[in-house]
Amino acid sequence: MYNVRAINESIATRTVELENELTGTLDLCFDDSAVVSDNNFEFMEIGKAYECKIKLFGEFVNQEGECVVKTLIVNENICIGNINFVEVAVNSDIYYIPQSKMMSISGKDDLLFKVSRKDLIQVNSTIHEDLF
Amino acid sequence: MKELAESGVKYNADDVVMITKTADGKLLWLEKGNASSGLKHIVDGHATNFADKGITDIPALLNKALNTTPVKTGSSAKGLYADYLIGGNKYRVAYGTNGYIVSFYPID
Repeated sequence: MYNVRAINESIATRTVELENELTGTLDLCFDDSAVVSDNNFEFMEIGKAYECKIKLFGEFVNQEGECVVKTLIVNENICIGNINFVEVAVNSDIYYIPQSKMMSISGKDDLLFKVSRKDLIQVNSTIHEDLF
Repeated sequence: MKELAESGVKYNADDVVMITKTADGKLLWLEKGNASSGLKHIVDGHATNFADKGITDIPALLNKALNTTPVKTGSSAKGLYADYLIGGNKYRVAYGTNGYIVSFYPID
């Protein structure tokens, strides 16, 4: 579960600050679910807790550097909506990366990923419209 | 600009950064904006995302995108959006029904 610590609204999109209840990690997540659908994440309220899935937006890289995290593959095939993801652990936190990003990567469970952004893709039973 | 002026929509002429007609003939424009919309909002929120794709001139990429055919379009209570495929990457433009560009960011 994730606690909503803050929501920063813009006209179309927003960022949602989530705190992982288990690990205490704070993630600033981009949320554009309301741009593409009226069935979106706008029901979230500050101070309440939700089951969330967060996508890592970025690329696999070969070298450590700024915003580069070490990801450990937990599950190679998780379907969210109609899209297949790889479930990865960054330290004790769980994130999701589209399987399509894995095409050029093989044979290693321990991969470096440069995180450009963290995207909110599922909250409770509501899945981002982009995944259908 | 003349066509925008004659269209009857409300806009700030001094703040217009880019104006173009989409492939299907709709007039869209980008203003300097503020923290919630327009170029400042895009740069504040997504300059790093664009830089990671090798993009530094965001208005130029936006103009290029808008002059291609979107791979997906849609609408919600927030307004309209269109997704474009440029150089193997997908980008999303969110805009109002009047043509004012609210946001622009990479999505894939």
